[in-house]
Amino acid sequence: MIDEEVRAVILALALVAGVFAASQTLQSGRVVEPFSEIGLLGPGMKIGDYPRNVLVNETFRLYLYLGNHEGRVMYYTVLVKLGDGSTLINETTHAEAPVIDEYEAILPHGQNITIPVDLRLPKPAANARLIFELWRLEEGELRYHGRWLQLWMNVTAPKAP
Amino acid sequence: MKPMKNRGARSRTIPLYILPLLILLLFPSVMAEVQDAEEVRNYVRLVYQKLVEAERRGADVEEAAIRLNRALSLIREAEAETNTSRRGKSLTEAYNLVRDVEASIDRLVEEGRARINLRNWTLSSAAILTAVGCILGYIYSPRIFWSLWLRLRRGWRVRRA
Repeated sequence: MIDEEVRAVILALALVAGVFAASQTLQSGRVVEPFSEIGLLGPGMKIGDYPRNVLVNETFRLYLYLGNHEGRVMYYTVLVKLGDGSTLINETTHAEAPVIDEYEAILPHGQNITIPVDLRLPKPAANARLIFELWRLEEGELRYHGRWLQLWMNVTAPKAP
Repeated sequence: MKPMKNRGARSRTIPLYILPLLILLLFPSVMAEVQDAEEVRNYVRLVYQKLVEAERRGADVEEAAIRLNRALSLIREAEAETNTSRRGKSLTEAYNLVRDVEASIDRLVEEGRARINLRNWTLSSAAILTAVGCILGYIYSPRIFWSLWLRLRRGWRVRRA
């Protein structure tokens, strides 16, 4: 009787350890919730200190942060568009606004990149809306990924000397 | 003993003056620098698609993706460059990077396949070893348990209560 109990305890311990080891092995490296990151950093590479007032054709620097957690290699394109308060954009619809610049990156899973972005705005505008849209290459064509950022700015003409 | 003459050797040898011509014909990139950024970008996208497929088949594409991303950076640098010579140099470097990545894809897939096979073998071996361990434990654990129990208590004296 006691022999049977010892056997049962040993068997139960072995089974629990085996199931745990198998589940850990099978789950390792599996991406449960794939997602992509896009972020905008100020000139000091920090969240904040964004330029709010710039002159026409003045070059200002920002940093674009991209991160890939999709579980596979990704080809990202970020379209920089210049819109205003009436520009419609959401997770399903990209902005119908002129593209002023474009940045691309290919990232393996689990990696990120910070890209310096130098921009110039060509004409004066009050409450200009600088939009950064994340697109990705799928089956040979670019598709809007539904992630976007915006920066409100005033663009003023330089004063005449 | 006289060394044997290889009579066929003369007919199989390529004359030296043909070699440069062959090199120029086989490697057009030697003849001219790449000048069209869009052409190189399309090539990057084509190789990216192949890389995605390779990753799906088990290849580790991290290094290759980083090199493709470097090629994209070179294309962007070339587009911003006004000097035609420097522009051509950047584009040629980008083109060569992409070509190297494309050439390495088959090897990456082979390595990935070998890694998957090794992983499957390791998992199968671990499962079999666990099963064998359970069976052996079930059969021999009472004997081991009681022999240890007796060894630990061999100095004990039994007293009638």
